[in-house]
Amino acid sequence: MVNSSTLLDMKKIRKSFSNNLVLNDVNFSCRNGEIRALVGSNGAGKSTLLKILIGALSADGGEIFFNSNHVKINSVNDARELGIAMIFQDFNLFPYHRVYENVYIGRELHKKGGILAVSQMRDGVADLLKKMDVQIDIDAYVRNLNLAEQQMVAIAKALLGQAKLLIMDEPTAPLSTKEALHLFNILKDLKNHGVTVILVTHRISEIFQVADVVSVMRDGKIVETLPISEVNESMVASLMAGRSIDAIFPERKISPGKKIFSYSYRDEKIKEPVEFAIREGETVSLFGLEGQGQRKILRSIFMGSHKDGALLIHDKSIERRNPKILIRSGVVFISDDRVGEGLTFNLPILQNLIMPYVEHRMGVIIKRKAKVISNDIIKQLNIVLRSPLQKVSMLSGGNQQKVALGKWLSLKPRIMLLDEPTKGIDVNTKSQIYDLIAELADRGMGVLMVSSDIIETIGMSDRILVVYKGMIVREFVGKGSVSEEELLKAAMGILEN
Amino acid sequence: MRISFKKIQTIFMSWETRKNYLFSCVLFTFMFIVASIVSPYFLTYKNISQLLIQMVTLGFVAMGQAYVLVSGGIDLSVGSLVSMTTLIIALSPGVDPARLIIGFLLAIIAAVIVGILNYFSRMILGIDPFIGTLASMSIVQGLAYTISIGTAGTAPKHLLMIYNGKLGPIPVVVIIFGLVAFIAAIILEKTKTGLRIYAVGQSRQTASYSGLNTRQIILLVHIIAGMLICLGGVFLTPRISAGSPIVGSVFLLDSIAAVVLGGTPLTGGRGSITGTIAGTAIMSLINNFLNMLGVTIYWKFVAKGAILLAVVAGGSFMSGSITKKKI
Repeated sequence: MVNSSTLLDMKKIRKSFSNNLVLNDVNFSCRNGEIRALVGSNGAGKSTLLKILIGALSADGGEIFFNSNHVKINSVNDARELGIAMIFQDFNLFPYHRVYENVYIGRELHKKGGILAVSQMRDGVADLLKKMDVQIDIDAYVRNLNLAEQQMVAIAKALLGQAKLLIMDEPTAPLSTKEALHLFNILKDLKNHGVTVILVTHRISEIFQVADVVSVMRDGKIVETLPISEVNESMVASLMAGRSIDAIFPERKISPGKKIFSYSYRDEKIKEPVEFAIREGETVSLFGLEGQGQRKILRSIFMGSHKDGALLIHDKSIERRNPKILIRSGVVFISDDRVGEGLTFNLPILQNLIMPYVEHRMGVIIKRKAKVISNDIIKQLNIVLRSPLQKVSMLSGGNQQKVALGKWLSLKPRIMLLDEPTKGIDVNTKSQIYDLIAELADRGMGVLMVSSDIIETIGMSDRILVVYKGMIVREFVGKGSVSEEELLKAAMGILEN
Repeated sequence: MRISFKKIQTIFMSWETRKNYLFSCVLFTFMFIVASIVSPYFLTYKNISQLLIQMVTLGFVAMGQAYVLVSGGIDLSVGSLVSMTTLIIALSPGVDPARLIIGFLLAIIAAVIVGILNYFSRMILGIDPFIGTLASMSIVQGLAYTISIGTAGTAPKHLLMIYNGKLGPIPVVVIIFGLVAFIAAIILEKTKTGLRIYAVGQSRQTASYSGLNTRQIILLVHIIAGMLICLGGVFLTPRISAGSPIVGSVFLLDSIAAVVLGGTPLTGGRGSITGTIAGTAIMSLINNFLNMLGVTIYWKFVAKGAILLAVVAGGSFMSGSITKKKI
């Protein structure tokens, strides 16, 4: 309901990426002087909604009202002028500029001729920091500050611009508990000065320390907005879960065999090493919320070095680690970045498919054999195309992924590492890819998967390893043996005793 | 105490500032002292003023290159623009002293046009500046050849007078260079515009999110660079008493070496004019010294190339990318 104390009102915001509907007529509003927590699973649409709000993306439909005025936010500058400021996870600061230079950039104080009025800017920043009750060396280069201090600089920068609405994306991710507390105090103080704050976070327990109201987003819609006093962690978790299943997962025919892969990953910043094994025909998932380290672990297998940890394939230790050696040992990696890493985008489908393996005579590719290999894969995976000589960039996302996956088939890999296997792919193709993975698993291939799609994770995995803050905190064994809510809670670090 | 790469790196990185010229000043002083000790001829008035005059053209060109590098780009067309400038000045129509003025105006206009062309290919067409300026280098060089295959024209009389003039013991051109360098340094290091140039060089994305007009800033950078390079060409003309389509080529390598030696990394966002001048001094010192030793021009190329490699590797080391895994 719109009344005079409503600061922001986003109505029926709609946004699609290719065939994917990411924001489904979202209605989101907040009041003046409120601290709003915005939570939701990965892929729920939070980042997209906020990017539209700050002008980094344009919506396909819907309207935005700010201070009761209908506004059009077409660029980052439009948002800035309205007083909407966002602090990204990477802070968007200049590492080689000093604190006061970062705060004033774009609004520099200067004397005649453009010469910077350094002492005035320093005083201005000193004032601002004092109001925020923060101690930082004003002359320091931002690159020499720790993350918590950098965050303070980013906030100061937003405040200098008279921000009325401050949006923070995962603000406590780089902070210690003490620093987080300090941040919350600053935010509460801002609230008293009339600044409205939107906090996007995965750390559900923290919202109870600082937020007034929480909005839960799910499947491109805001499902519920409630005052903090009326919710608890469990409720939030259930609201976040409960998505509709739109793809059917294949039945598995065999049960896992002997161990073929084992990994022990050590990150110097994290106390315990991550250790797990994969058996023949088994599909294992590393599941966690954004930024918990599951992707880092997966990628370290293929692209790390022996310093990251010990890797054993069929009980043979892999000493030197690089993609070539791993492929030869039967481990293949399918990246989440189809364009950059998975495919050679401007080459024809045929070249992409034969890239790992093709028969040749003294280095010259035997064309006939190449066509045979390529056609085999196209048929097997049902890749929809006009001709194998078409460029891969012309295919749909789903078919591109089939090419990225399919090219490895002739090598008969033993372990397949999948990073977001169905990202940005339509429902039908998703099903086909699930079928393919299940078939390969039935033939004895082991799969290690990282997916931010919780339904996919539950539907496809024989075992789920929950990753939180870089460590494995729980393991769920048995396909379909865990509910979404339970898995989500585990991923949030909520331990049920 | 085990001294590891990483440890030495951390020491370097902690006193690293945006301006970065400490290392080059130290290196220059060191080389100067060594040269003075090794050769008695080095510290003579004749040699030192010779050295200073040689620094002038390279200094202008290096400052132009520095502006472009700090903004996050690179300019491979500097050499050809220098050559073109000498031709314009030497072949300009009219009678002294008007001839010098006409030539100068034409040269500045040409330089600004080249600058705008480089801006255009970089920002409007979105072409990587390496390729974009490679193309403009080819265009300008080609045009220079169409004007004249060999040397042509004569330096305007008044320009020769300026070139040979002295204010007390100091050559006039050195004073002019000093003034321009001073202004260039103030603009880059102390003004609002300069701060924004550094910002754009560090991250165009962040600059854009901070409300800066990156296009406008880069346009300005390329125009300034063009003008500085033009000045370099203007003061080169009396040195060879003519215009030449090839005289500028050597300045491409030398300007990049000078800028990088002076603490401006190729990645952009950092560096200084002060450092660039120190780098120019180092390059000129090397030239001067090798000349004194009677080294042929070919060995000079070898030496300069080796030094450039060493310096860029040193920069790589200090910024930490040497220990990154290369796939």
